[in-house]
Amino acid sequence: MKEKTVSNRKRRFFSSEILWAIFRFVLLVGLSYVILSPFLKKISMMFMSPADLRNPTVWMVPQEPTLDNIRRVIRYGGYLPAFLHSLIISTLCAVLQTFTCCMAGYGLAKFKFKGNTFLFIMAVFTIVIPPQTLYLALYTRFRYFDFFHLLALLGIGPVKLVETVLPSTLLSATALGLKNGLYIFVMRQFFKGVPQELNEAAWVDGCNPIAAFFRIMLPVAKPMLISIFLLSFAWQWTDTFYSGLFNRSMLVLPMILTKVTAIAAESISNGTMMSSVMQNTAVVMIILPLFLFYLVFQRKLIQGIERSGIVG
Amino acid sequence: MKKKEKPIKKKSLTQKNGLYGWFFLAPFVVGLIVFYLPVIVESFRFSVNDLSLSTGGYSLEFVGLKSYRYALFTHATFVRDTLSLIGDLLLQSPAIIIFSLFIAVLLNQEMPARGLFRGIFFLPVIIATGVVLKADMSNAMLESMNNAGGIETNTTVTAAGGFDISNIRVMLENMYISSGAVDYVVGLVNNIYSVVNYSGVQIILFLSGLQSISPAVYEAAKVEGANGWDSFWKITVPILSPIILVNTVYTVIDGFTRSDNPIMALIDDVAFNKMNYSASSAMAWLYLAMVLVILGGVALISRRFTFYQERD
Repeated sequence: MKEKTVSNRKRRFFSSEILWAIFRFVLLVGLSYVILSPFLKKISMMFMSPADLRNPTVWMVPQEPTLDNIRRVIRYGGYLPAFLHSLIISTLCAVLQTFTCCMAGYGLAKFKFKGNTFLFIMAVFTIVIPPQTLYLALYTRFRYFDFFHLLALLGIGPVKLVETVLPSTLLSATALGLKNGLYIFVMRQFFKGVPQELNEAAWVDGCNPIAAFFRIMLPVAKPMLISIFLLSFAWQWTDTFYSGLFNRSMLVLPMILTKVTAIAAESISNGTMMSSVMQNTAVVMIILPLFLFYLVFQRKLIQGIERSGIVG
Repeated sequence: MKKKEKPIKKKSLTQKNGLYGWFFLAPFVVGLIVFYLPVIVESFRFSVNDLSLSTGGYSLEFVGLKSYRYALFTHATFVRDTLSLIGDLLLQSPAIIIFSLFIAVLLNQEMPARGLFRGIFFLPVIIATGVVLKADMSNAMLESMNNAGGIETNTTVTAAGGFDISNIRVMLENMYISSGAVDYVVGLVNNIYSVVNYSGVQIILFLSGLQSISPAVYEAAKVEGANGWDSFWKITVPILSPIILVNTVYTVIDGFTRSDNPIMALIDDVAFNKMNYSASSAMAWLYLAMVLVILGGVALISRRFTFYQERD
């Protein structure tokens, strides 16, 4: 009798599991469609020849698929050098930002000192102020860079830092890049969730706080650090604000958008049609590497990394 | 006696190491002093001065609060649009938080094609950066394809993909649900595209927050007889609560500073099309002050619900 109820319960349990799996799958597929639908159109347009574009019976699936659009973006848009530049800049900035924001977040979460609250508020403040507001002030700051007139006193005078990678690098190295306040906030909240006992144990054993941070806290924070690295990389990859402000001379991926449009408009007949096709192709080619990059990295986001000693 | 001794000892150790906090925050503090604060001060100076661009720079003329008075009392739409935006965002933000937490929990479960789904839900982060928006702005072809069918991606559409929402409305109203609640749900369903696309960052952060909860905790709860619902509310939510706070703050900030919202567009327009930098800065500062007040409110409310693993 007892055995029967157990097996019944088990069966009910299994069927509800399956129902849930189906429901979950349908829901995720539906939402994925919502997210993907604008991209699907772009991807299909990417392979369309002019004949397909003019043909009203063609919808989504091109009749005469072609790689010409991609070739044009590579050749006229300067895709390959832009890709390389973006890769270098984004990796550099993302690594710097992840590291400095992690440090700042840790400092805010785990140390009590005067000014802690003020610095935390400043960190949040930096995300509240939209960068557009500071456009002009930021530009002049780096165009005529000086530190309280110190450089002028030394006879170097204000230094021109724009048109180099320095402004982006310096801002990243000081946790002031795009959305860095958010990363500091996230890391602070994360480390607040890590018991202070873990730190104290290390400190009591004679490990100084800096070594304890690198040996104990960084490994614990790995999933969060990966996410922040990914976010920071993605924002840098698609950023037009800082690249347009500080370094117009260096071609990065988002810039090829305007470039291909201009070229398509002036050199090819029926320019408006071609320019929008080129734009779509370029957008897909900007986003696709990022998507693949995420697919590779998300594998590291797996629950079950044993966090020894940390049980809620 | 014994109980009292321990906290005193801990306090002294944490206090002793308190100064190390400055080490971890050093990059951020340097950045604030060298780059950020001067820029902020500069931007504030624009708002209390009349700024005129000339060759080789700009000149300022002090006018006091004139620009602020202009923004508050003279400008036709600034105050009205700001207030209606606050209303919209207060309604939308909870939906985004709940939605992204739900999706993150789903994406954390074992299932086929999980990596792909995670990748797809990462796309909104890229979309939010604006690079796609920029490409779509002057895109004749995409528009004609959008008209040809498929899901509508703009937010004003009333029936998504031929599905008649009024049926749901009638159904919900027949269930004696108040019309306010019905309007809210219907509004969300209509805006599913924007809810999904504004949840990208939140999903990523929740997902990595979930990674750091040890599976052992759930196992222990299961052994004790807790079902999924119990462990969600008693384990997942409390441990994630610091991240929920970040996400709430970020959702509010993102809503207010997104470049497609009417006020940001207005600020940009006043600065770059009407060439009135002073009025633009004044508006930005007023707007900022308001966002900070709202964030203060969020912080006060959430303080009661946020759980940190700290002993004090």
